[in-house]
Amino acid sequence: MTNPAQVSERKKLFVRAINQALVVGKCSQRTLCTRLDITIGTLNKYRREMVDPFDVKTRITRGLAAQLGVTTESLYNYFDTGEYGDQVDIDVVSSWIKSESGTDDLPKILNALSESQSVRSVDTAVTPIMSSTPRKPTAAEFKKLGELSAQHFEDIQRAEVLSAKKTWQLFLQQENSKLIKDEHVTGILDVFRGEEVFTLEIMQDIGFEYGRCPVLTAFRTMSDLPIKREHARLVHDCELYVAHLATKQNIIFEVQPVDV
Amino acid sequence: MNNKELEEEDYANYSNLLNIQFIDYARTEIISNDKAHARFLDRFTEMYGPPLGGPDVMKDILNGKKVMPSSICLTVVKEYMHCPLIGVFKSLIKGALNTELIDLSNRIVSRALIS
Repeated sequence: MTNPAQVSERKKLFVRAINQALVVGKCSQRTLCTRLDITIGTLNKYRREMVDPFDVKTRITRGLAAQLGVTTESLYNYFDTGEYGDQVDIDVVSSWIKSESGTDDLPKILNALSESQSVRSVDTAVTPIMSSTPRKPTAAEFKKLGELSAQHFEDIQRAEVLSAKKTWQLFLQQENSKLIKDEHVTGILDVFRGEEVFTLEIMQDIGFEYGRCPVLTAFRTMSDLPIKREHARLVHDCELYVAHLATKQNIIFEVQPVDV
Repeated sequence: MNNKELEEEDYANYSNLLNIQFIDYARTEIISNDKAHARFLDRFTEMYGPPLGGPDVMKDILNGKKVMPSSICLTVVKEYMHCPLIGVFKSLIKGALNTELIDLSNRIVSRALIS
């Protein structure tokens, strides 16, 4: 018999694992879908806690495990216990060595130990990202993000040799921008004009509404101009935190990959 | 109705509508309010000379931080037979101004001229 509470917990852990895969892989939801060979609709079902991870096809679970840099067994363990760890632990291994191993097994055991040392450095690099809550950026960092976005808007004007008005029209013409409500369009414009201080509340409001940052999306589609390193770092930090808030409220927010 | 004296509330409403029109102008031009004010002041000076009360008072009125003083309003309207701020807006903005602003401006001018 399956305990409904356990199933519910597994579904939550499944959502968390998917979010971790997005962060670890620095990819968008669509990219993750491509990597797992599933549709965005399927991913949304997973993220809405509609699917027990134990009912998911092995092919998908294996893909997710690969994305997370863990073994499939370890991922199943995570769904079961909330911890990545294989069921074969040190006690089992030492017990087997004492009771069953012979001298012929020694080279193989030593070789495995040697290999594990090089793999461990990769494992430890992944673990902290998966288990920690993202840092909440300060108000000053959100303000700076707004200023850098305004600066990038101006940089696009120069790069594309357009007036401010034409650049704004170009921004509004992007497919993604057409979905933005008037009140948010005005808010974004005021941030670009330097008349509105960008805050966590604004980013959360807009991010939750559209499931991603529409400004960054438009910047990318309207110009090839790369985002500066400091801007990218702030985008990454702020989006991670907003995604964390979104997950807590069971809302989908897509963290967009940036070079940090 | 037009014989009724202008009240503080009229100036407050008028200042509020001027502020709305000013922000709308700055947004349309995709410029900061400071830049918009600089352009506004340049055009004002070109058309009417230095603003009565000084540029800072005009800036505060346009930014919605101050209600237009009745003394300034009455003096300039009597001198030009219209509100210079509306004249500047008309020269800066292509297309129609806020109709509510124009209605109130007309009411204020007509009352100011007979006061």
